[in-house]
Amino acid sequence: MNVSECMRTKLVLAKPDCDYKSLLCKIADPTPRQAYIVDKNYKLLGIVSARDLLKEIVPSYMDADLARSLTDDADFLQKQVEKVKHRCASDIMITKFVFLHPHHQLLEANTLIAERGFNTLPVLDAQGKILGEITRRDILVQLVNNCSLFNLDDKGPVDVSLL
Amino acid sequence: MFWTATAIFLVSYALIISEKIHKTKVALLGAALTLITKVLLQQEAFNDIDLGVDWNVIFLLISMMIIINIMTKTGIFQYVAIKCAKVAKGEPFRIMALFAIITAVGSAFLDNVTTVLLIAPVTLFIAEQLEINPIPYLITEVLASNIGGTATLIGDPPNIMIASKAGLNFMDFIYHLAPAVIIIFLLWMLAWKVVFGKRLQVREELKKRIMSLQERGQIKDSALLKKSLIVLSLTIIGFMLHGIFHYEPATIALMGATTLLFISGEEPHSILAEVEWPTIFFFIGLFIIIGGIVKVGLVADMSRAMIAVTNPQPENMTMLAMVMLWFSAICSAVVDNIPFVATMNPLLIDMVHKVYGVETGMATVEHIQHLAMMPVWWALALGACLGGNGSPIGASANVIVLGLSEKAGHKITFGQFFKYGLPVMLLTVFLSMIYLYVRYYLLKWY
Repeated sequence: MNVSECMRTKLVLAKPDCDYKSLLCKIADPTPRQAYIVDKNYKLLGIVSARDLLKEIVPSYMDADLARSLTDDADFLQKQVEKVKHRCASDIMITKFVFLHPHHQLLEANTLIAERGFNTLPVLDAQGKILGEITRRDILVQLVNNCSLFNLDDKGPVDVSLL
Repeated sequence: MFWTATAIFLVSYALIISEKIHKTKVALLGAALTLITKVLLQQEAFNDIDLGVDWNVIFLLISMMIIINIMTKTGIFQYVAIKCAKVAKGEPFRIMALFAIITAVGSAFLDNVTTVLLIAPVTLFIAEQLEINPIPYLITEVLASNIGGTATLIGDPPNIMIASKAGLNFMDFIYHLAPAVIIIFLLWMLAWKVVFGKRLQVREELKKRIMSLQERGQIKDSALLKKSLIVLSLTIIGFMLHGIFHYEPATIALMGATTLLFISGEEPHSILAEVEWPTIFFFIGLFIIIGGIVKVGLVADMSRAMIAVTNPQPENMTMLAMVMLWFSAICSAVVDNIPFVATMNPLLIDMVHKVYGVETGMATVEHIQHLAMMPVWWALALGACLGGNGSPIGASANVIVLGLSEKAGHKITFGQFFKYGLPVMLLTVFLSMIYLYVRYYLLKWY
């Protein structure tokens, strides 16, 4: 199966000058894991992931132990967001990324994800224009579909707050 | 052979100073060239006490790094730092002074770089809470680290090298250098109070932030902390007694390191991987290069020149001690103090033999530890360690903190460092000069 058959085409796109707060709002949506930074021809320039945004607000000196010493972190986090709000997508994005082409096999995507630990891989055409993305979840869904696993006894997620 | 060894030594030194190529690469290449050109035979490089690698220094460094690597995993430093900030009730200058004390004491028993690596993140965090500039704090900690490290045999690599070459023990350093360091530190803090006392002021509500911090969570593994503290205490007691029981410091440190490795349950693979192997191999390479110039007689020539300049007498080496103090301090401000001391050690040994001569009938150790000679060793230690404060590249701790600070968005410029570091270096070396003169030449208190 080709990547183009199971890739998502609804993506979060942003311009290189998109500011930190706008990026935060775009990625805070439940589904997307990353924003694709593109030029006016939709050529992919870089990627900003949720982790990249979170890393921005953690000072370089901070570790989990030091963070534990704070009794009230809300004020601290707010101040950190204020500090980085001037930063834009081009400052934060990674520019060296692995990508797939639409004709690549799903197995290649699966292997890349399994080997290198990616969550999501962009799919580009020969000119570097963004066409879609493929996620771990998309591959899992394809596996379920291909292997006809629908009838197994699975009641789906459980709301643990009701237990 | 003479010119080959001299060329290897000079080119290696120049490359180390230029920092264009990593100093470990330079030292190892220099060592390999010394061996391949047969300036020094491999047998001499690895087995000769006078010419070869000083394994006492190497194993003392490795062992202390193992103890420190295990101990830093406990979070004790961060705990003490936050506790001190609360004890200071959030007062900025008190915090600065207490952090300087923690750093100085830590550096006296641990490696300087590790100490500043542990204290700097807490400092940046506290400064953020107090909404003040962390740069004066970070520079103060670097200066404190270099001053504190001067106090003991294990505080700074130059001291380890001097102790090994001159056969000095841990208590010799405590008896001769620790008082000087305490006096210097106290006077420096008084000067710092004048400089920063009024400049560092914060609002009351910011002080309350410090008081609300929770220090308890910093201790990650209290069982490991207890084991580490017990082993470190026993190791320090061992250092204090090693002269009496005729053990080399490396033996004591190795016993401590292996005991802690054994009882900590830590995997040797990860602990040994964290040993600073580039530093260890830097030392090994350097010892071989210096062995080469000792063998071919370059050091003997340098020693003759030093004698001509300072005119040391068997019973009085005042001029030599004073020249050594300032010369070491100035050189250590611009050159890494490790290669400097590695060169000075054999030079002083050679000079001692020339001054006392064989006709005195004294054994080598009696020459080296002659009463008149002892202040010269202390001058070398004081100059080499305190000189590191003179410039941003004077000591490894300085370079590390400058990097950390820049990463945190607070770039310390060379000018800023010089503004604080150079006067402190001049003050501390001047105080050392007075200490040496009054103690050894006026009071004759050896």
